[in-house]
Amino acid sequence: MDGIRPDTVVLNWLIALPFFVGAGAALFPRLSLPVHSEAEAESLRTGPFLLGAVASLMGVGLGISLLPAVLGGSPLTVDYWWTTDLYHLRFQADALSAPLVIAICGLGVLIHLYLAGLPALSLPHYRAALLLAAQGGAAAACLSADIIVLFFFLELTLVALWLLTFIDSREAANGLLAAAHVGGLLVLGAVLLMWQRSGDTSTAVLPLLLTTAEPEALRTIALLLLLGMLPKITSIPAHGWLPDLAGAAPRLALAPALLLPLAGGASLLRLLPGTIVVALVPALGAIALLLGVASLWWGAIRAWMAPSLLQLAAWLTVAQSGFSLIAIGAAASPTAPPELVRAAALHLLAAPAALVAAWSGACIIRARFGTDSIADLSGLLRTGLLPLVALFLGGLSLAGAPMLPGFQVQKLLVSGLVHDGRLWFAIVIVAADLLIAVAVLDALRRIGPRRESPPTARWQSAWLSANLFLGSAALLAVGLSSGPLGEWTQTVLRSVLSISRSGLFVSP
Amino acid sequence: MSEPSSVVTIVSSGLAAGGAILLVAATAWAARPRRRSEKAEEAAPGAAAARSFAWIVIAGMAYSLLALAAAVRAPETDGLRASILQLLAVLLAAGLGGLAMSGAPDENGGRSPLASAAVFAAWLSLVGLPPAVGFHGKILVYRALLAAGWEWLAVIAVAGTAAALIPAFWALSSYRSGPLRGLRAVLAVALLIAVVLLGLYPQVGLLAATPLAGLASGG
Repeated sequence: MDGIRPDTVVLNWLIALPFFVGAGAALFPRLSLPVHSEAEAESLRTGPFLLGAVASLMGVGLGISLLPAVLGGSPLTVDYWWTTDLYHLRFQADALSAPLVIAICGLGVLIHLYLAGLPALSLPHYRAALLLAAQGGAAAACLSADIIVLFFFLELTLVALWLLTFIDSREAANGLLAAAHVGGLLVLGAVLLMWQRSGDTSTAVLPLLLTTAEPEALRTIALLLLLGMLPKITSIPAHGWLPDLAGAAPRLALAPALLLPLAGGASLLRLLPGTIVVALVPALGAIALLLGVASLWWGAIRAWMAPSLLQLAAWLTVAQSGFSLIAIGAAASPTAPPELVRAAALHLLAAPAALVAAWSGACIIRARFGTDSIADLSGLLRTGLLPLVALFLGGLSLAGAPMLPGFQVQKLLVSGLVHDGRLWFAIVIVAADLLIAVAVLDALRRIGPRRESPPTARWQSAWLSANLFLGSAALLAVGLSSGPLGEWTQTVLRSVLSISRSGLFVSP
Repeated sequence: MSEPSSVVTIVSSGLAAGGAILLVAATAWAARPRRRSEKAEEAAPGAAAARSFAWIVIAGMAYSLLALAAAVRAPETDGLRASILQLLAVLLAAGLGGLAMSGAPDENGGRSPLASAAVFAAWLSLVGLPPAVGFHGKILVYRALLAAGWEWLAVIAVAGTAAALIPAFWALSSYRSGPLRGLRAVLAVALLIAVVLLGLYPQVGLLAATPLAGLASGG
């Protein structure tokens, strides 16, 4: 062993941080002085969330410090001594996982600020700890270099999000767990088959499956992975938990709506490279494309018909899962141009950036004005400009409007499909984009400044404003940094997916 | 995998069939819709939730039996260790849940955080979710079944896990925790720590299971 690399220490801290801080937030809720007034009581409730926001911000910083090394082509791996007979506790920061962990920690900062800005949240320390556990689980799932560890952390994310939302709405939380855990069991089936066929649980050996496993097993693995991840990325027909959650637990819908799809999409992209057999089985590619188009269109239509802003955000999220599936399904073809894989990777960063702005705007309007019904919010432009701007920037990014991150994804996706000779798919996507834009602009028109007396805000919070400012700024920053992001997708393509793409041409 | 002898085939098939029937019956009984007379029983708080819990504990035992069947059929499948780890997970969860549910609910409507955490952890372990030890127990059982060539049994086992969510949701939604005090509280804390620690680091359970598996296999 030639000494410890400094960035290994950083990676260790990155993995451990949310769990330690979460435990601290849960175990020591009353470290502050005795409460003497209502104002002090309010400020106390923000404490655990601000602690979580700081921890998440440190996670962003640690992740950024890893970027130069991992984007330079040298993945960083750490093994822990408490490895077991079942799996190797191994994590790897590479070109795919490091930016995703930064995205997850960034989302964590915004979600914690949002929760800190909500008044009278009961059990704030438990909520902060659960949110950090979910965030840590999602980050660890992205970083896992072992398929059992990856599955463990993916399900841990789900359990933490379930408990987080269980406090507000048991039915909605149970709907989330039921859909996502049944999907998780299918993913587990795929993971166990991979383990059995490869004889190892390391993600590094997954590409070998293409040459060692029989075609039936590969087909089964790919099908189980694809179907199992549908609820986590909120794709049709397993999307129902999200609109339900948005209606039943509006205050806490933000966390599961953002963290679970990102963790699910990242895990899918992590597990697929070794087993991306969709190309070998055209029917599976067709299933992915079909589900993608169905999610995109159904999400866009329901977003257009949505009676409330939270429902609008929920259906926009469903529509976004369609882009992921279309990109993955189309990219699996041996003749597919690389733009499609790059679009799938870029979508993993662009969609959360847009969704956090849209969801934060909708949730904060609901919290501040007591309703998110579009019919009751006419005149909002004058009293709630900031959340409205965030909501519509996010919505328009999802529709692929220029200058916003969604535009880069749409550009890669549409050009890739055109180069691949799938002109009709490109037209279908552009038409769905237009429908999403119409849905967002129609909501803006109905909320617009038409009524004489605009709705009155019940209260203001600096933390909510901070959430909206940061969310909108992050969205614009991602949209304007198309150059670096384009290079990043090239790196992902080269360093992570090139193995599977070369493997596609090897007949198993 | 070598071809098993006829005695081994009969014993393992019998164990597998028994385990599968027990799993399906216990899970179905725990998840069945409640009759009107049973709904009236809910006046006795916690009784119906405890009954569902007990049936799912029995279903958990069935997983252990299935892993044992896999071990008999194909000793190289690690089925014995899977069976022992799953049994350990079920016993810990049963003890934890049983302790937490044995207290009478607070008449003033108050809740005990310890009892609530204990019941949550017990159910998490029984339905095989992290960070409880049942997660690893079930994964080993599924793996042993696949390695023994019993894919259909693995499918039944996974479906049983999914079905166990129904009584879990119902029981967790209707459960009202009573306070835990004295020795029961100490025991509950110890079991809770064991369930979570073994869930985070299952190697301790696997190390304990290895000699037991050796003894059971005559090694």
